[in-house]
Amino acid sequence: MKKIIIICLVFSFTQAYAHFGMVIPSDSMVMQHDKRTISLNLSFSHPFEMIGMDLLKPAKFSVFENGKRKNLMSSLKKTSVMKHSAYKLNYKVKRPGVYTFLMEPKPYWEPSEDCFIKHITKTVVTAFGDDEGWDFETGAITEIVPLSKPYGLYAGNLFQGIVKFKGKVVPFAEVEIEYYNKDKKAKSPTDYMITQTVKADKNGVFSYTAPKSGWWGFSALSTAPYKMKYKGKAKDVELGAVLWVKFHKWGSK
Amino acid sequence: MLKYLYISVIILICTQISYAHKITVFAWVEGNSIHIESKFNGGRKVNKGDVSAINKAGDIIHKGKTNSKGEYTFTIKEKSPLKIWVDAGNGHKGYWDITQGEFDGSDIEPSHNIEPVQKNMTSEKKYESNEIREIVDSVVSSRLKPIQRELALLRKSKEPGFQDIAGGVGYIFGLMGIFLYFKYGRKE
Repeated sequence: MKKIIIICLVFSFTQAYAHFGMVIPSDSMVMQHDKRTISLNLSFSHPFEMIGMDLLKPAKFSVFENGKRKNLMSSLKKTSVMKHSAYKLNYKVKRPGVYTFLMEPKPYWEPSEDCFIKHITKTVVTAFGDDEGWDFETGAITEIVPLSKPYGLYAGNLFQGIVKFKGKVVPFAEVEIEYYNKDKKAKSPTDYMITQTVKADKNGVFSYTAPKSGWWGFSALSTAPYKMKYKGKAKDVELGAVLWVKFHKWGSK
Repeated sequence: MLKYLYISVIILICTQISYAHKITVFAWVEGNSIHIESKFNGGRKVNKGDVSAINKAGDIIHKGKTNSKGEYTFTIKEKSPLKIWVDAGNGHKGYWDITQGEFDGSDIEPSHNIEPVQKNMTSEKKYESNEIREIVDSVVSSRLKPIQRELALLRKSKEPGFQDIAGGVGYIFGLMGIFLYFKYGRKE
């Protein structure tokens, strides 16, 4: 009888969507005549369907400015994204460089998947014509290392990245991809097309061509080598290596 | 003929290089000094690049050369906006604008992208009542379009999709599970 009960309870949670940690800056390429203070929104959501989820204050939020880590936790302010708790901050870009923003959230308990979820999320902003270090590795337990510059891409360009876990490539890693449907104008013909999935090759390299301009999230999922307790029971921790990349319309910024 | 082909190829290569070696210039104010950094795309520093500082009137107020680190510093007498050029020759050059705000410390964002507000902005044109009606109609109809679209979609989505059916079945199983748990679960 217990088996039947478990099967019934598992089936009761079939409506699962892909979760994405989100770090979205107001500008990914700050030019010398642009506004030099960029704002960043940190959130947790289903970005295509625009369904928000509460983001607790992240465990860490940093920027790697030309390779040097700077803690930005004290600058975070509470806000709301998709009607759910989120965080924001303003960051003044003072010098040319490539700025990698990295959010390490607190693990979130997802009852429908019976596991904790922790999406380590990053995005890359470049400023004032500098162009070095766009493939910088933050050293996070898992991350997507871009093989294409993660800014200055046109819609239709091929984007490639390497999935890494503890610094090593993950052969045949599965990467989920979603469009940030901010204006809610995009409609998917079927539910299969809300989250798109590609697999990396044996060298952990994955490829994707974004069909539309806007922000696209790439999320490589893996199971942490440790477990966390929920109500006294050890549970899996899903680790996501998330990278947000903006694709631009041809001929406009 | 072959000679022309060679020349064409050389010109083509030179053009490619000039694009690939665009110079990035960055300059900032510290007291009465202007500091300049310059490098090529890819990070190589501009060595012995010609520096020129041009004021608002278009006059060159200072000239110099970058060191091996692509840097140069000079002092100014007047704190007013400058355009700093670094030229490495063969069309490899770049510039950085220093705004008045950087001298004042007022930290004003560059504003030249904002169009100046023109005088006499108020229109003198008088509209007829039918013109006003047309304008209002077009605005209201454009505002209503998204709502109409949503309504149309709602009508279309009356038919349950795969996810709805799966979700519905799931909920039935879920309720059954809870019911069975309370009925039999405790006995086991």
